[in-house]
Amino acid sequence: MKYIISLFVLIFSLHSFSQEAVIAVGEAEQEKDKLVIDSSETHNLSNTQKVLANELLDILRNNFIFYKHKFNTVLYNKTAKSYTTENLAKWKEDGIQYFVASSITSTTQGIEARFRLWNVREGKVILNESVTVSNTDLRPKAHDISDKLYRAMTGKPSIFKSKIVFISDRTTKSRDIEKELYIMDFDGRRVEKLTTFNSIVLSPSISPDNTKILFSVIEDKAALSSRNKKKMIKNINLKMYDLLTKKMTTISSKPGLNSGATYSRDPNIIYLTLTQSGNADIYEMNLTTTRMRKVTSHFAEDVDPSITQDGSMMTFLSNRAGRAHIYTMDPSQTEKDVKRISFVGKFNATPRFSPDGKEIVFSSWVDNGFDLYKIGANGQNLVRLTKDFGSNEDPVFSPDGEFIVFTSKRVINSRKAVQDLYIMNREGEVLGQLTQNFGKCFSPQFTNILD
Amino acid sequence: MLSAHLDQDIKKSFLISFGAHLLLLLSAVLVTKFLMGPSTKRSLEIEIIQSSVRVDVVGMPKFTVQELREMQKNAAPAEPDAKPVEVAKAAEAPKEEPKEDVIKEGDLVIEKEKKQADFTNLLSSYSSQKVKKKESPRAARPTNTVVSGKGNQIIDNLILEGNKVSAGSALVGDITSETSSEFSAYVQAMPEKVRVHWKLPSYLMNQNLKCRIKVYLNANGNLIKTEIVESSGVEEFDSRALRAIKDAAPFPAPSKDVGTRLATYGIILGFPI
Repeated sequence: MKYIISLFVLIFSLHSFSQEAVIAVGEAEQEKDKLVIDSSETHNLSNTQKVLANELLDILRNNFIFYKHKFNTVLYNKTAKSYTTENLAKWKEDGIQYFVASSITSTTQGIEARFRLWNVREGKVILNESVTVSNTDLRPKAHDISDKLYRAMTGKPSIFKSKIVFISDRTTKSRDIEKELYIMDFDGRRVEKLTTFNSIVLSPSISPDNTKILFSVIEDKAALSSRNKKKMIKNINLKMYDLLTKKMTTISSKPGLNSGATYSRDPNIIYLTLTQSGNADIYEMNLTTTRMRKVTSHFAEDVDPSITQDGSMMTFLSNRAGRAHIYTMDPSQTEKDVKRISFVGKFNATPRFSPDGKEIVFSSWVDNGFDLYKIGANGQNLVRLTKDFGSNEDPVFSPDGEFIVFTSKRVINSRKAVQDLYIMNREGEVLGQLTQNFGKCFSPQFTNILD
Repeated sequence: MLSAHLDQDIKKSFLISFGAHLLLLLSAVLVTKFLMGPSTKRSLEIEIIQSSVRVDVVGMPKFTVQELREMQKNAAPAEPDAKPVEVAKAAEAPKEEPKEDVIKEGDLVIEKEKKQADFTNLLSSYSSQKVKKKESPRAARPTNTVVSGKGNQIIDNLILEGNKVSAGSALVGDITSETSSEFSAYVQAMPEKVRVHWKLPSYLMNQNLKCRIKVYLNANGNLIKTEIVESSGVEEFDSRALRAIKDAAPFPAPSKDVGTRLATYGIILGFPI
């Protein structure tokens, strides 16, 4: 009997223990790693080659400053140039976690740079990579080696090899506004013009394999008037630009709005806003078969879809509650699991998912301008990202989820305003201006990380 | 004669019927009053349930993440003496039992002015049944004196600003006891304090590590002891979690009931869950 009672008490205790509540503290904040990208060992370099070597190291250091929430990139001049393990104790003493030792030699085309990345805590070289660099390929090569260093340290891809597609009105010459498509490096360098429509280009989206860009353009379209006479009307058509073949294709030119297209993870499936049924609804379109399927079906206007990387959730903007608010849903079926996410804000716009699908960044009208906010995909944890920084719109997460690129507008006077692209980290710390004196810039989109 | 007899029968039947109906009515009233309980109690139950419901965000945040961080940084030096040095020393002392981090109660420096009464008020407002009127943003706006002792309370108010929740109208929620609601509100506010100090070096990030620490608090919100109930298996990770709790202490003074429960049974904090 005694044993039975003891057993009962034990079972009861175990049961009670298993029922104990746990309060989650949440994810820890990461401490910054001290990173040194050391001045290089140089061997018989000409003055031009020395300049090239210095530029290469400057780009590397500058790249890692973007990740200043993770790395404290410092200059260091205490190391004997031999880079032996004898230095490890000194580096450790100085609180250095990672040390990039570089060695530059001369080549006929430019220089060859060898980088050895030390993990000081573990006391070993975790990357040993060399790259040949010339004046023509300096920046892409620098970004490539930066990405390798970043991956070795964090185990994750960086944005260093990413590009940003955006729209600018810099070619506008007269009253007729022209907006064309451009592409540039993540840091705002090496800008290239992609389209010459002499019209207005809208809402670009990049295919999962980075080879195609979808966008809308305002074009003239022949139509019959009420008196059965031919006339030209403006129509917003959906186009696709192939970055490899440089060819342009019209995807949809249905009467009305064919815009706001965004790729899903399947390069054949896109989501776009159409007004063919009288009001704006979001449709899924198969690019191969051109078959359409209604994703939203509501008398209110549903626009601006953004899809998670796994394609399981879509966020969009709708005025079904009276004002423009953010919603999420499962895009696999019409009106499936529609959930309202935002409940405040006079006018919310451009909701965009983070790559992991856990957060949505959007702009909201506050005090005579737009500011950026971030909210959990479950509607929790609404936070403000910008304030007193012009009018901020069109936010988009970088493919690694660490940054947000957005447009910021400054009114100079009643006739003039500037609008440039800026980059901030995911906590709202503005890191810098990506475009300058490049007309008004709109709708930035990052290319995807492929490997 | 027959009709007179019939009249009497009808009268008798009518009286019996009237009496029976009256009795039934009385029974219904009495049963309603005594067996089903007073109507005030029923409405009280509904109120309690209502108070457990939290719904819509009612305002956009006024301050940015960066501003709130900066305020938190500025507020931190306001209470350096609020972290009793003895706690940290005592906490690191017992080397024989690395899994249990005991702090002697007598070692604790308990100062009344460090009770953070303002934060307690905030917690009380959480658990109160009526939602208090939203403070005007101007009132909540920090001044240069944010580094005063009220710094944390101001910041907590600011964090709530825009993310504020209000009592809902839908009768949902499973909290039916006022005490459990108060306890729940108190412990749910604890991670906010701990998270500020919860930091890891990069090599411990994204390792899927998890540890759980049971925290016992006394009536003043000071740490009595901490106990690792589930280790991550990595000493550095566990010690960082312990350090976060110690750096967050003292916690706001809990109410008597909540304090008794926390001192006796403690509460488990999950790092990260």
